[in-house]
Amino acid sequence: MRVLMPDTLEEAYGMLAAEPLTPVAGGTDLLAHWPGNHDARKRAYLDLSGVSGLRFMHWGDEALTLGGLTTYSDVIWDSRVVEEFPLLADAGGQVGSIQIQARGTWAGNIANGSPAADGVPVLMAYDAVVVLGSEEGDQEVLLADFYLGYKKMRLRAHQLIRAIRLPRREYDFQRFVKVGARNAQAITKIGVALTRSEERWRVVVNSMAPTVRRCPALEAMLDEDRPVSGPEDLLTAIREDLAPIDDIRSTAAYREKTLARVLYFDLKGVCPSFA
Amino acid sequence: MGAHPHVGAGVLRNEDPQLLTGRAIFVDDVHLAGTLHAAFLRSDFAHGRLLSVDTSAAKRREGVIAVYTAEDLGDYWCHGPLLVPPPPIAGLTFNTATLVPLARDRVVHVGEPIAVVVAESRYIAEDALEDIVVDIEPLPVVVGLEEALAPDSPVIHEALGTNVAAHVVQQKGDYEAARGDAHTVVSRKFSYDRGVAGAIENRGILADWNARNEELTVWDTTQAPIPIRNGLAERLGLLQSQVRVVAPFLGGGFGPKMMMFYPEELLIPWISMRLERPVKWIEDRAESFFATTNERLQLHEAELAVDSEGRILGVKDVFLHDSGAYDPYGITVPINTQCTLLGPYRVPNYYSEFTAVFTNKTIVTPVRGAGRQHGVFVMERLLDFAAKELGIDRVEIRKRNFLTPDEFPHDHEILFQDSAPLVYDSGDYLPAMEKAAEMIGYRKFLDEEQPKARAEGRRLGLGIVSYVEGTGIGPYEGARVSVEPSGKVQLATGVGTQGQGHFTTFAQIVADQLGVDVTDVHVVTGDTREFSWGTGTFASRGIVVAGSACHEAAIVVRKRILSVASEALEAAEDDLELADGVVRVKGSDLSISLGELAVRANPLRGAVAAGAEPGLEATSYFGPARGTTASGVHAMIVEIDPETLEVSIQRYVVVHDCGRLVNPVIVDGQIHGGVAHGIGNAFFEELVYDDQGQLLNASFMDYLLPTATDVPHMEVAHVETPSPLNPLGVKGVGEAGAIPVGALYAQALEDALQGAVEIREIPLSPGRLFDLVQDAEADS
Amino acid sequence: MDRYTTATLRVNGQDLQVVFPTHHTLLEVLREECGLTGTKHGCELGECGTCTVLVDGEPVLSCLALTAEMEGRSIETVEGLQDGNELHPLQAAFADLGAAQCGYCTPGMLMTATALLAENDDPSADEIRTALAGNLCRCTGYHKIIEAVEWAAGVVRGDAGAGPAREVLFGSSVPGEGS
Repeated sequence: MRVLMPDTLEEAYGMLAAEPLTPVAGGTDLLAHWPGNHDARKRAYLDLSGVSGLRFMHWGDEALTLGGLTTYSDVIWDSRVVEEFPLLADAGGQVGSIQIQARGTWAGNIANGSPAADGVPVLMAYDAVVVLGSEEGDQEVLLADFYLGYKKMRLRAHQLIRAIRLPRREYDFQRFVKVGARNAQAITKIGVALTRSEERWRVVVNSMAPTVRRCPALEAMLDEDRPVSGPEDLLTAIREDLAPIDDIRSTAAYREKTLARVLYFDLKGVCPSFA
Repeated sequence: MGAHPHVGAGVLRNEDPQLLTGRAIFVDDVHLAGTLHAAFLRSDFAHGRLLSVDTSAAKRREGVIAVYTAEDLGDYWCHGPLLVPPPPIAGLTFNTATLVPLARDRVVHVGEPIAVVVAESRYIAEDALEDIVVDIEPLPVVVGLEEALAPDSPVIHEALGTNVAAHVVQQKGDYEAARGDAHTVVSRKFSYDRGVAGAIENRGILADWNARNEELTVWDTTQAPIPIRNGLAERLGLLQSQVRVVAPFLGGGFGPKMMMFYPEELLIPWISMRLERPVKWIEDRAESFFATTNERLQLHEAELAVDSEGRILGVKDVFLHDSGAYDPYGITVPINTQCTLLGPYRVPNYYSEFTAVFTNKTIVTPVRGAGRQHGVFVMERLLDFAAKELGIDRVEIRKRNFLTPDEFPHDHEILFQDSAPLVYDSGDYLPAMEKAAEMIGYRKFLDEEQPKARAEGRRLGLGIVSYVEGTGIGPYEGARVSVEPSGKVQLATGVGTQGQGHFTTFAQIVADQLGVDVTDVHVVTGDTREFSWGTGTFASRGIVVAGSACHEAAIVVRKRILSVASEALEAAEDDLELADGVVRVKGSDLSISLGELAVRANPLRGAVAAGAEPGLEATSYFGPARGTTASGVHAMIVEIDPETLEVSIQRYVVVHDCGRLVNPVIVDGQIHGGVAHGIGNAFFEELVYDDQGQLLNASFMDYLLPTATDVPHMEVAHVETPSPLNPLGVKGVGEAGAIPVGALYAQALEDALQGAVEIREIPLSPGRLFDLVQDAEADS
Repeated sequence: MDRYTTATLRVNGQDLQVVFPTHHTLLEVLREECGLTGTKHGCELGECGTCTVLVDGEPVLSCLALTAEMEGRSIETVEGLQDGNELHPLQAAFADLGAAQCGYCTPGMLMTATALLAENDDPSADEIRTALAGNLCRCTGYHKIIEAVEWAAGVVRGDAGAGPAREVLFGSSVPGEGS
């Protein structure tokens, strides 16, 4: 294997433009089962850990910007984040273990493209914008539009996720619920991030479709205050928005019905249309 | 015998200084210059004809030293030993199919080794596996137990002509007659599945053949180094004294690291001899799910006949047991099930029949509990259902059926796994049940807390179950105690340690006899060069059998110390006392240290009298006629989340009886770990196989060991009913905690769901509870 | 053949110059090139926590970290925890409460707990459980480990009576280092 270790972002862009490289930040996904992972060891890597100025949290008037190397831990322990974007801390604290939180990056979670990614739903529920950098300059993509299909995304080989921008808004409701197979360090069976700002809902679900995705049918039900008298009233919208499967972690039926219950009971006191 | 300041005390562990500072040596920590690394090519198919293996490209890879297939093994290829022959039960059928070192014509489970690559580094060896071309013609796969016995089922071992590994009937009294007299008969089907041992340290072997002095040293993650030494010597044509097997510190055992003679265990030493270089193989986690034995499913059809008061008249149980692809460990697991089912109860009539079945899956051998879980589950569930049917409280029905102290020793009239009659040595079950009920607040919970919670829409449930377990079986263990001129004591035994605290508990036993500090007793264990006789650490037998041998040896040394001291101090032995590392004449200042006595016992001048031995040293052996019977009661309170059906444990209580406690801190730790393993078995861990015999969750991300957030705080109390079968009055405890947890979960969850479902299976999970609730709703 | 990298690693306060195959993880280099075998491995997948070390004070799974990026960063392993003959309060509490059994997960537990106490010297039992959730243990049921971390936190804070009653020395003392 080869590992290229740029010091600056410009250097990194140049290296990426010159040859196919796999970017590595925390390495928490990449290095799993390393000795037996023959193909992975043949590739060339762009190790971003030494790139200066990529691990930051910048508070602007309009937005909070996370750097491409900002880790879960950086966010979990930040009191201002906990106050203004509490779901980031909630979700970050439920990603893997504290060892993973120390090394794993938000950008890496986006770029890895797992449908079960725990960091992505909350970013999407906050209307995050992904800032893709390259020698050609920056390109911005709304995270909700970033995924095209299972492990497919609007990220070209010469681009890096340089930053993630979260608009600063007033939220009158925000919640993240993760249902895993055990209390900690579990791959998510059902995850849902909920926010409401200026009367508009965001409902983002993971592990129930080929990508993490927003749920327009559910959002419409909430935005339009359609009456909901029990969890089962949410099932049609859930089935419209999502396509859960049976796998070794859970069943489609459990996922649908449990998501309905979680949504119903969590929103019951919040939405007047919920009986 | 004097005071026992150490046995019974929670003294600090002798092994901790090494373990806590990273200095303890585990197998993979042994680095020898020039070591080669091995990797195994394993079958991707559960069942198939092995047509060809082409290793030529792998052999050409730079850094590859050798590649071996079954063909290359010559005479060394043969079926492995039958490790535990079945007990002499009348009418028993047993079909032997033991392991082979590398698959030759057939593969019979996913992960079965086909070839081994030896290379300069582990990475090269792993890469070279990709170069090997294997042609396997897939055969129909046998996965289910009932399917395996169907007339049209493919047969895994053609020479046997059947998938039946064993068929055993054991009975006592006349069940059918008892059934005729019964007021109520409760019949149900049960399924109880288990899983992996999950030692955090995977298996590993480093073999070093020294051609110059013709000695083979093997560092092996084995719970039984002496049998492995004996077997390797025999297979390799060496004297036992030419082979040294060292099981240094082991990162957990839990059963599958017993004297298994795994393919890797046989091959790595052989390769080292051929190549005359050290060869190392360290299993990876994924391999451990296929290549290390585990424990799995049994399907039971059982019934319980009771009178109108809930008194047991008889039990009938017929079950299928999954043996996996081979049965090198005989019928130990299902016979444990058969014998443990009876529990702490008076069961006058018992009919138990099982069929062990070959399947195309990983081999089943004992894992912490070793089949006891399955039996306890069946009996405890049957009692719960009977109690419900008769309107008797579940604690009450158990109390009515407990054996009472005057009924011991109690002969169950069947044979146990050690071929000895199943006779309980001692026990007192009622106080344990009462104590557990009191600790968990049984009445208050049922009368106040649960109704209040239900009124608030919360689903709380309580479980309380009891069990016995056979522990401390033979054949024997030994120990050698020597006082050195430094005054320190060396204690050698063959029983290795995987975390049970042998460096401490054995030292406590010896320290009490010799009047020294526990830290002055240096325990050497798990090294065949240091002690040559014995079997190993399994079946909750270490403290009972090896501990008793330590005790016996220490008594002999104590006598010798007194004899030498009597001469040195010119005082009668009766007037001497041992304490603080010296022998003192009672009531005087006259004393002599153990170190000085050791020097006197090994004189440089003069003669050692005929018939006497030099030194302050003795070796003793202890072989119990049969095992000791430990017991316990577990109770817990759970809450089920109504949205997700996730379960949280609010209280967990254990009242346990393993006879006399040598070190209560260590005993509690054994119980805590067992309970955690049991929680995993009951609610988190499940080996998921598809219909092609492929394991779908071979990683710790999908096979879920409980984490620190899943295991509750545990409240542990003890009842001490000494065993009459050994001088210390001890019973085994290593497996105890894991045994009743499935039964406990089932009862508690059923209680929390207010009888909406009947739970007859383990493992459970939120998803499984969801399905059960849905099914029950659909039915009603 | 393998490419090699030369780097200076700062391990337990000492600079070590090591040459290693570029693809080797920090776990491998610590155990093989540095001879520090106290750091164990249980899965090489980031799922068991056994290989946890501290990198610049943060708990890191050394099986998932490329050594190549460790130049100039401070690495702490279990071998560096004690101070001379004196155990770290966590080690002492583990010994006093019987929190180690087979001892294999223990180095990783100790390092993760060290990171926790650096962040929070008065953690609740639940906070300890959450922090240690990435460190699997099959022997102890975590019970005594949780207690030991609570106890050690008291010692670190200097709460009178919170710590082990007596000084705990490891094994035989090193000649010349005093007691």
